[in-house]
Amino acid sequence: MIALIRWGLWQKRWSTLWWAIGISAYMILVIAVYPSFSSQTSTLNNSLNQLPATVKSLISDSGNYMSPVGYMSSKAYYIMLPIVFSVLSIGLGNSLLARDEQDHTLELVLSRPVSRLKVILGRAISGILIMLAVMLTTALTTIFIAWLVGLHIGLINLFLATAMSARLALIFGALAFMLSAFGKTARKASVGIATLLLIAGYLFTSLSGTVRWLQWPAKLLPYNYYHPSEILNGNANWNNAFGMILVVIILGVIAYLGFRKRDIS
Amino acid sequence: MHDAPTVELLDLSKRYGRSTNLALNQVSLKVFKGEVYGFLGANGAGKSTTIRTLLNFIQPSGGSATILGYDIVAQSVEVKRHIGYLSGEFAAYGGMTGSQFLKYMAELQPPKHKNTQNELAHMFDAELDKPIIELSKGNRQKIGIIQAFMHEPDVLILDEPTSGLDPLRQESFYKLVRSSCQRGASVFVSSHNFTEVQRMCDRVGFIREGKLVAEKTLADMANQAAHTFNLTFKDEAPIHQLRQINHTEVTSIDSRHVTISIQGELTPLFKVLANYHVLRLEQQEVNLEEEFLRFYKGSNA
Repeated sequence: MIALIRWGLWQKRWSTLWWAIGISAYMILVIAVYPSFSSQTSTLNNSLNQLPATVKSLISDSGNYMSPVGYMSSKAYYIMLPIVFSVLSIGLGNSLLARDEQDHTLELVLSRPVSRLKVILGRAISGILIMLAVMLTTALTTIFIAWLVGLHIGLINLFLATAMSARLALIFGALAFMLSAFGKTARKASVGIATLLLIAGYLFTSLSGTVRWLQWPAKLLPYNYYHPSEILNGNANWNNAFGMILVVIILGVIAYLGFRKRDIS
Repeated sequence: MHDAPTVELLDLSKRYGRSTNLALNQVSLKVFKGEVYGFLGANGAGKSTTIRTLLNFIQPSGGSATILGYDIVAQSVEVKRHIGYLSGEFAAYGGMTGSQFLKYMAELQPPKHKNTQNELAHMFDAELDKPIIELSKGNRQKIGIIQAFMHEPDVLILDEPTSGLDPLRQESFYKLVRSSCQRGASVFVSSHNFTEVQRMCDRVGFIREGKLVAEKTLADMANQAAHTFNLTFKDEAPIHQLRQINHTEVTSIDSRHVTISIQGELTPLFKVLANYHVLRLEQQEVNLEEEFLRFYKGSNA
């Protein structure tokens, strides 16, 4: 299985590098411009507070937009980072198994003494390691720039917020992976369904404060359990974190059950 | 005469999805140690379905099959320890070079001898340093051949194996198959190419619309095939008398030279020839193509 993981990573080496560079560059930009805003915190906060509650809830989960935590939440951790990580994760989930199947290279692997369990585990671990590499690069870059700029947020909190953001994205990637493991038809729908759940989760969770009836469906969506401001303030909810990891594991098991005995197209 | 079969299919069937037709309809056959079994049929007849089922890429809908005694479904991983597989549309990871790809395959299934891969690369003059995506179909197929043979498998499952190869490399491939059989390997090969089948196979099975319609040894087919003779007479050729012989086809080249194809016993031909002054009699090489085509088209069903 080591060979499967190693060659899986090798195939994605350049895209992984560019994803890591791209997301890190975004974080550098966001943090680097913060000192320019910090001198006008109260003015900007007053302006933003005049926005309707619905709009405010779509921007951030923090009320104070120009505090270090509020700024990082609104500019990176609440929307941008989870979405960008999710695009990477869904793309990986959709392609890790499905592209090999489309290219008929999966047959070459399966013609060797390798069980389908090992194939799916190898692919899943490759995907997780790629996410981990991009997340670590982003987190370390963020911590370094935050330290350089003197952003008043605990560096461990920044690391955790980045990790939790990637972990949220991992759920959508795992969903795409699970669907693509079931075959051609499910594979075609996998990106759409995973993206729909991501966007719906963001909208339902953001708006559930003002639109009451959205509270119940929001509870079914992963975004509801992602609170970057709390993490940045050092109040990470570890139950949510482990719950999401459990969901990823369950999706992985379902992926195996779908792939175990199905026809390879 | 034979040991236990290395490949055995017993009423193997496959139905795709909700289709009412069986893509594979109760196919039973056996392949023995050291034998090259050719699997022939038109497009969509069920050749690739059979191969994909044997490799457990697709699940059988009925029946069973074993390779070296291992069940192809329940013991699929064990089966694959002993087989080499090559597809006619060999697909490899485009971004890898041939060497990288073969290294990957060797990590998944270590070769018995370190030198085998290099020997095969030399035999086929394979370009291992170029990215596979830049290689022509024939050069990609060479890498496919190397990966299928490099671990010296006991059973080779080959689907249109010489697709894209030039005649010189086809010749090398036939030699490789023969030498594999000599060390005891069994070969199950699907092909459209009659010449290839004639060159490689000991026995052939014909599949039509998912059913195995006939199995023949190449020797039997040669005996049943029409024999063609070029005849030169001293005087005018007795075309009328020759045409009266059953199962013959006579082509007159000129008044003294005749080509005659005769199926079955040759005695009636020689009885006619005994009455004439024959200067020269040449037999053409037996061509099984006509015989193959008869099975393809269904006249022997």
